[in-house]
Amino acid sequence: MREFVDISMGLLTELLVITGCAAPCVAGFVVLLAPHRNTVMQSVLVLGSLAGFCGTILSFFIENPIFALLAPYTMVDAVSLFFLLLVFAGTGITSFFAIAYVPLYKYAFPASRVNGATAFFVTGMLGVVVAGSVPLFLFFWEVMSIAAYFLVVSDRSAESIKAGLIYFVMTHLGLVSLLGGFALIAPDSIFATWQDVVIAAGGASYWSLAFAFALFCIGFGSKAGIVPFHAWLPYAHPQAPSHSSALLSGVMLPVAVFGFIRISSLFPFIPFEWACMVIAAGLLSAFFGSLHAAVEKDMKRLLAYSSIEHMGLIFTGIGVLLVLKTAPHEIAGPLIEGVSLFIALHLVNHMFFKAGLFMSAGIVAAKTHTRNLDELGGLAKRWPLFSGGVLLLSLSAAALPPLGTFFGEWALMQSLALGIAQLPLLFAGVLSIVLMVVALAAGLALLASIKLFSVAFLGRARTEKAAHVESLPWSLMLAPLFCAVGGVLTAFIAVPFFAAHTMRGANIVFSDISLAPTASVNVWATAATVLVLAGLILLVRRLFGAEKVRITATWDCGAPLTPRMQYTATGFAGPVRFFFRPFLFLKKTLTVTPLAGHSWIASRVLISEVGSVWERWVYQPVADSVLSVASYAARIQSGIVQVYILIIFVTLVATLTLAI
Amino acid sequence: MTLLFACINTIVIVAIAPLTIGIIRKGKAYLQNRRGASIFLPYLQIASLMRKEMTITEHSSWVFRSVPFVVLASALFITIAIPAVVIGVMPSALTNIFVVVGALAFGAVFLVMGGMDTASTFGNMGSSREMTLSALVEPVIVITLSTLALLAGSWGVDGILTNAVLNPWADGGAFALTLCALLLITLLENARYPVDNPATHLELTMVHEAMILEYSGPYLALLEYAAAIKLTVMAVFVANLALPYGLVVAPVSLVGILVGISLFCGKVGLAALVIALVETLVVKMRFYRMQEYVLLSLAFALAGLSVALLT
Amino acid sequence: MSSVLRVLRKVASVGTPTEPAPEAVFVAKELPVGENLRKAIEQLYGGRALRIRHVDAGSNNGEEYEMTALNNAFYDIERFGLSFVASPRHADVLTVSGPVTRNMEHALRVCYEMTPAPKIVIAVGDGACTGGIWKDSYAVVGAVENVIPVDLKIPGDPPSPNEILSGILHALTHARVR
Repeated sequence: MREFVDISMGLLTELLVITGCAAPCVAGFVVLLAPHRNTVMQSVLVLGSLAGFCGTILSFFIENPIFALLAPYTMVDAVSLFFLLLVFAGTGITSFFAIAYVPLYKYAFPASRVNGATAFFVTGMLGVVVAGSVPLFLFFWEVMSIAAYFLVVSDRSAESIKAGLIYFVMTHLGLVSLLGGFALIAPDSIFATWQDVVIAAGGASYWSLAFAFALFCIGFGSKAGIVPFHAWLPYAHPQAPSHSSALLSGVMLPVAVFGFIRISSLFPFIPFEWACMVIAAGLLSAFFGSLHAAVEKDMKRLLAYSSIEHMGLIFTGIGVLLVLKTAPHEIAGPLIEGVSLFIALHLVNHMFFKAGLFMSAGIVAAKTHTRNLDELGGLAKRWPLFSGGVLLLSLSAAALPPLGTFFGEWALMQSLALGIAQLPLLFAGVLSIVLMVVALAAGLALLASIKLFSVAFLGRARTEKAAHVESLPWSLMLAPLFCAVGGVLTAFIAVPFFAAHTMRGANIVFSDISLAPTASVNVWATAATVLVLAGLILLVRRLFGAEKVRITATWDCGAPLTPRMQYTATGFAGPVRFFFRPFLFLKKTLTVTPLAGHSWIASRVLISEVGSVWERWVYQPVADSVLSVASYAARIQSGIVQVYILIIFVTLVATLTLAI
Repeated sequence: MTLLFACINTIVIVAIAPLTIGIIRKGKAYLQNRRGASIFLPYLQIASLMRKEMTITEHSSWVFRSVPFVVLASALFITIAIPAVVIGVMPSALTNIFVVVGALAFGAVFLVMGGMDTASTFGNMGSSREMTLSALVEPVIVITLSTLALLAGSWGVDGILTNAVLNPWADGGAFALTLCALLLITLLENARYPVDNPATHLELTMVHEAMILEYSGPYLALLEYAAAIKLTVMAVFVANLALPYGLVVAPVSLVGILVGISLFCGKVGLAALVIALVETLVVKMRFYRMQEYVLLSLAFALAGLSVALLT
Repeated sequence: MSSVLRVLRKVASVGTPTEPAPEAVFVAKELPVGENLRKAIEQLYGGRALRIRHVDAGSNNGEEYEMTALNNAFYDIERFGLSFVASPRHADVLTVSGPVTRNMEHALRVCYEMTPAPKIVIAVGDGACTGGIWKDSYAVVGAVENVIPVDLKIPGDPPSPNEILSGILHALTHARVR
């Protein structure tokens, strides 16, 4: 009897996961057969993802090797199960949102194009996560990348095409790096499974491993938006339709992280210096991402920069993990668990709040027809419930207690601080720097997310666009609100769940999660305290609630206020722009054009831009040099056939000489 | 029993918080050769605000109305997380330094949103400044508290204070540097000189005051009370680290608690007078020079950490 | 360091020059205590902690000059629990000076409207009490009374700090005893 239950549970799990994985293919066929049935296609994705999600959750609890049938071609371990969970959850939520969202844009882009690309995109991500060999991994990786390109250019505007081009170039630079990396560590067979790669890498020389590791960092880093390979992200993510942006940011970037985790587990060793390079890249991303998010005024670009920041934090976490693995000390063990807890929690939380915020930004943009924060304002009065959801999401992005994100970042900071206290000086020094930069990035992220909420939702509407918005239907609001609630619930569900899995199955529900005997946090105690305080406050409110309230205008010192007198997002971030000006490429251009007939009356236009230091000092020189090399190369392309024949001849001779 | 002791910490702080403000004002008045108001005036001010009507701007939303309660709750949470009289009774999970950092940020963020929800340039300006300062000071707080925790070998504020009681001024150099950083943070977080002028009437120089310009009546009382509580908690924390005498460690006796409370009152008075002295001797810095102030405190914090690591 | 010591030495050498509370220079008849004032004082704990918002509704700044002096070490208005605040929403008392000019009429009205009840309005100086020498000018509305209800008038052109202080204290003490 007992066996029968086990087997049937195993079968059920397998069936559910396979249903989930097959769902995007079915959805693709739906698009093919009925291109305009958006609801049907999205429902297939929602239900399939739900099935897949349930199956994946079940598989954490039962011991059953699923996908055993396809063994050499797939590899499903705890890590891939975790990322499967993310992909299913993200796809389910965003597809549910797309049911109501895509029809709003039927004049901007045909549903069939976006939905087809989405089906391929999800297939690609699922494939990457479960792939068991190099060619399959690369194939699905490319499917994912190409589908993402079509999502980015879906509205065919000039801006989208430009963003798509940047994305396409960067992602293929990444692909070339990955190919190079695989060629270096597993040169013998192009059909190598992961096990083959491990064996081959074991015999590789130090320098080829080092070079391969660097190439993998570039390859996966460029996909995850790690500085300095992040340039495409702030252009591409905002251009996609918002449910796709949510998927790109909340799920695709984690899949890139998955790739990095998977590949770095194949290396026989990762020395201290390599790990430090990963940390450096992660910290740079965290700092520049949060800084640009703080000074950005386009809602979706702000979110894209925030993604760079959070991916940077996660890469930092991975780097710290790799550093700790080289630490010859018994304390390293618990710290590694703490950092892995952070990585797992942060990926889940990031998926929730980033998907939620992108969808919310999509709703705001759809109803006000602008993504520019400087033109918004006062939405909280018109959409009280929705604004509450966005507030929760913003607090979640700011990693404040008692939301789930806080506990993730807490685990990271606590582990870092413990490492500083107990590891040898070299490690302590590195970890001190990490702790400081992580805290600075957290502070700037706090500013960015509070700016996003308070400029868009509080105060008065800054333009007519934002002043007259219609009420929101439930079908649009539900998905972001679900994400907001999810961001709160992760504190109670995901924290104990992942803590139990990383902390060797310790029972930590209702008790402390301790990283060391002296450091522990208790989600439930914190929540209980918050609840008691909230109760107390409600009591205070009841006691003083009967007070007379009179509604008046805002204090204006006698001169009537206009909405334009409010601080804009640009103004709000003014001090940050000033304090961090060495790290930003600030440019102000004042154009004075005298009006005809009046020499003393002139119209003045001031354009203030925030540029990227990386684009100015890294990308621009590289692009210039590539162009100048190309112009030299163009000289030999004279269009004369004889010259081409000469070139071919010379090449042939040179090759033969080399071969002999 | 634990709950009772936690309540003692909170109740004592809540009871004495307005007095701190009163003593600072009195001290400043004497240093300006004035007589000044009674030190109990802030109680009366809060009581009379409670009796007043409220006028609220028509442009504000539900966020504006929730702010005073959330800010007060965050201040109360800090009284639990940073014990002032009885130590070693709270579960370490609640007094963890990172929870303290989070709770401080939570209150600041809601105050900022209150300022943004007024549609007034003054409120917005205060919010922008406060938010920038909170963001900049985050690494300093984290490093400072981590150094203290590292020296104490415990990650709760409770443990830090217990260590201070057992070995006062052990690791003197690192401890002194970190304490300096903590003092600078306390001044910044509580909008005192040289970061902000708590008595200014000029909106353009305001940070904290600008955000609460639009609040009135009971809501204003709650916000002022919260500010007083936060100031008292942080000032007493610094005082407790510098002079770790009179802190009640378990086992707790009634006499011990009474002695503890009276010494606590002494420390509040001392801390308030020190703040009054500082506010008389230094001038307010220009807001756009704040990065120098924050870098100075960061330098202290990092120096403290380095000394702690090297010795 | 030497500058710190210099400041402290100065503080010590000056002592406390604060003058004793001014005697009432007005007789009760001149400053009648109205019902609103009496009620407000009663509600606000006898006026022992009042916050003042000053509105310059068009004065020649004589009144402001004198009122600034109230904060200094000689008059030290703070010892009576009175303080100046930055927003009408924080205020219990509005002090208004100058004949209300047409430009400031709106500002004064809004300011009054925003001050939460119970509130007290004090007209400081001849301009505010009666319109003074500008009374019938086309540019002014005249006395503060013409715009918002006034509870107390302190005449003088401008009244000295002592007069302002004694006027306020006089009203407070009279309102307290019933």
